[in-house]
Amino acid sequence: MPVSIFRVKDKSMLPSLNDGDYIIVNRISYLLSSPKPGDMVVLRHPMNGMLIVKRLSHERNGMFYVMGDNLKESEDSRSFGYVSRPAIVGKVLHIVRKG
Amino acid sequence: MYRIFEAIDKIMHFKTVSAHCDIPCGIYDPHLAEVAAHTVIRMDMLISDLVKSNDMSPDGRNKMIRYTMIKEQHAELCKHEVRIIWGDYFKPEHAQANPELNALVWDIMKAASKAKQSTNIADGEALLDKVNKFAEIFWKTKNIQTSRVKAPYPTEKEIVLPKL
Repeated sequence: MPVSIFRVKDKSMLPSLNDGDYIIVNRISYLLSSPKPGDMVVLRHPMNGMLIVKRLSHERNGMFYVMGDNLKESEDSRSFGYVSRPAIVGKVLHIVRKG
Repeated sequence: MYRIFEAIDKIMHFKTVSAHCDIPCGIYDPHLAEVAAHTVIRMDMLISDLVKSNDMSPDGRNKMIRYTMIKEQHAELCKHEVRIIWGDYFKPEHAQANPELNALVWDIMKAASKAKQSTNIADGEALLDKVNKFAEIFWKTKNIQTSRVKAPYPTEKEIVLPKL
């Protein structure tokens, strides 16, 4: 299915995403276009394969630097470095907020 | 809308995406590096005692090899622990707030190698001094106060304790 729904855990994307929010993710967004800085994306953590949600900061040599919006609570490219295109699962299309 | 998603979630069990994901849960502590540095000093002390005793028997030689081996292993362990904290825990803003951090880690790597190469107690002490400074920076980034106390080890040197 080209669209997936995920539930958000934790607080590293505050204030954009809250713990418990649902996100609708388009898995085929990047078939025809490249991920752009500012896109909120779901990706696989390069070390442990966990699904994580981050914001794309910039691209360099086809690799992507991602960061959490809440820098104090986020583990992101600052520690695990650039991620490859296949690690990106899809783009967040819509947020269904809790309460 | 949210209630609808929540109801579907109860049936479908949507996958969760984590926004935060240290493994293992952000457990970092410079204590192991400190203990390893103390062990290096202790081995230097034991080697010095053994040399003074002039024990060249097979058992004496055996002791010398064991002390040296442990000193080597613990100097390497010290480097390993510091590298993990430096690479996995520290973030750019920590280095900005503590401009001496990166040079200090570099110095620890060099000091540990020097402690491997020599049997001089002063080299082990130089390593410990730097590792203690590293520990103080680590706890400072967590807003946890520290105190330097005399460790309850035969080295009788200092160790950095967090006030938890």
